[in-house]
Amino acid sequence: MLEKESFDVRGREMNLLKTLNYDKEAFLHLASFRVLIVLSIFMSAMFFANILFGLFGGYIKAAIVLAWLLITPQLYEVMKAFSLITSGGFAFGKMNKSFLDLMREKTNKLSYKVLVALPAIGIIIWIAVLAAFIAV
Amino acid sequence: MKKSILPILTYSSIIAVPLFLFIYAISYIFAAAYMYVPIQALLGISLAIFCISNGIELFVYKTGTKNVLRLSRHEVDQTKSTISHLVGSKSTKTITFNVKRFNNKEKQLELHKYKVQVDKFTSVLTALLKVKSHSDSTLSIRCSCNMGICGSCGMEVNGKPVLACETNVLKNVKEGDEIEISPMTGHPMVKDLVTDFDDFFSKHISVAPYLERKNKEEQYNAKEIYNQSNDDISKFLPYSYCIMCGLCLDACPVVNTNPQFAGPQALSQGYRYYADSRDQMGEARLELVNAPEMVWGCEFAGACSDACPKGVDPAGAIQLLKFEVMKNSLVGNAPDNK
Repeated sequence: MLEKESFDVRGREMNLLKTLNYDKEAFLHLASFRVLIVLSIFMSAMFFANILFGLFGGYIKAAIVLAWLLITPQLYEVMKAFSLITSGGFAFGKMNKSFLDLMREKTNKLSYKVLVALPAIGIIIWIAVLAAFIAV
Repeated sequence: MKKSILPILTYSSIIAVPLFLFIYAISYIFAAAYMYVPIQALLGISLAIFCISNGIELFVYKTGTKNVLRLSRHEVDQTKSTISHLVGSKSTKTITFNVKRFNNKEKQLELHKYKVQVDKFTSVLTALLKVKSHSDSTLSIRCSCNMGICGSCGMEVNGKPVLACETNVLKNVKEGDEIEISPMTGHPMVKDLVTDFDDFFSKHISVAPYLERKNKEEQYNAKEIYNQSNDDISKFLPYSYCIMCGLCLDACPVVNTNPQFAGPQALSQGYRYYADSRDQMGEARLELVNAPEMVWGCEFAGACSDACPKGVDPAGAIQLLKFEVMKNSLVGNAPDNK
């Protein structure tokens, strides 16, 4: 009997690009997080250099703005997850349509609508604060 | 009276009755008194035909002399031509299928082009089976039910993981009437479009996907009925629709970059059994998934839920499971004594 041979292409960070074909939001979320990991190492070095030697003073604000923008998708997803958990899986959940039709009374409540709107409201506030930060 | 005339009479009178009623009403409004008599007569006749033909139809049906499902060849042909006329199914189009077949010897994907005639109902699976039957018998595909139940025919169409049997060709063609088919690269590949599910099933087993009772004797020889309320059922019902097609794993960017991650299918099933009021594994089930390669590996990309053809929402289930793990770690209230 022939032994089954298989070939695995998983495990490469480049595979993230595959997500672009079907879920751009997921790609943005994961790619920005990976960039943020690298950036945060440089940022911590910049902060220390600034505290100890007074270097990079002018670049700190630019780095914060960049980190702020990169963390925006993470924040949005966190707020989505919060809404999802609080609503028991209904807000932002992608459950079976026939099941959701049965559960219509749950998805028509005011609290559900507030939870659905929450991430958008949160992001508006988040961006407004960033704009104020840049302006000041 | 011939049986085949009955429907014609019935349906023509269905049209005739409202039509005459409409004309009757119009003539009444415009006081065309001279029209009343002939229209009333026609209306009466059409009503009579309607009732009689319906009555005979009902009688024939009730007494079992007519099998409503059995149609004559002429009736079948007539129905077929009517349907094809209405939906234009006869108009076919030649589509180029760019199939990326996995070559197990060279360990790479090879592009093969096939031209297939499709109509507006042709699914990707039907087209690929046509290729296998008429153009290239060496093409390997895994399929079974052809109706989105068995979950065997998962593959990537234009880079998106889908069930081939549920994917319409013409709705997915790109510019130049081309469509791209490739195996699910989120699973180890075996040959052409066939992928290996050994890893998938071992991950599935790792979350103990079954109901567990404390009393083993009771588990295997239940004496009572475990009633569940609608609320109890709705906690796990959508997560029990999983057909184990593996599309969620293929879509998951975390699985694609870290094969050690248990993946959305296994974790959603972990939540499905945790949320079931009949299960008594409770805290042990949460400990099982409280690991970096289990729930904490999930980055909540949500691609798995988009790919799921059954609306299981694995991403949602994992977040709920994460919350249960956190809650149990902080206050320790896993319902293990249900």
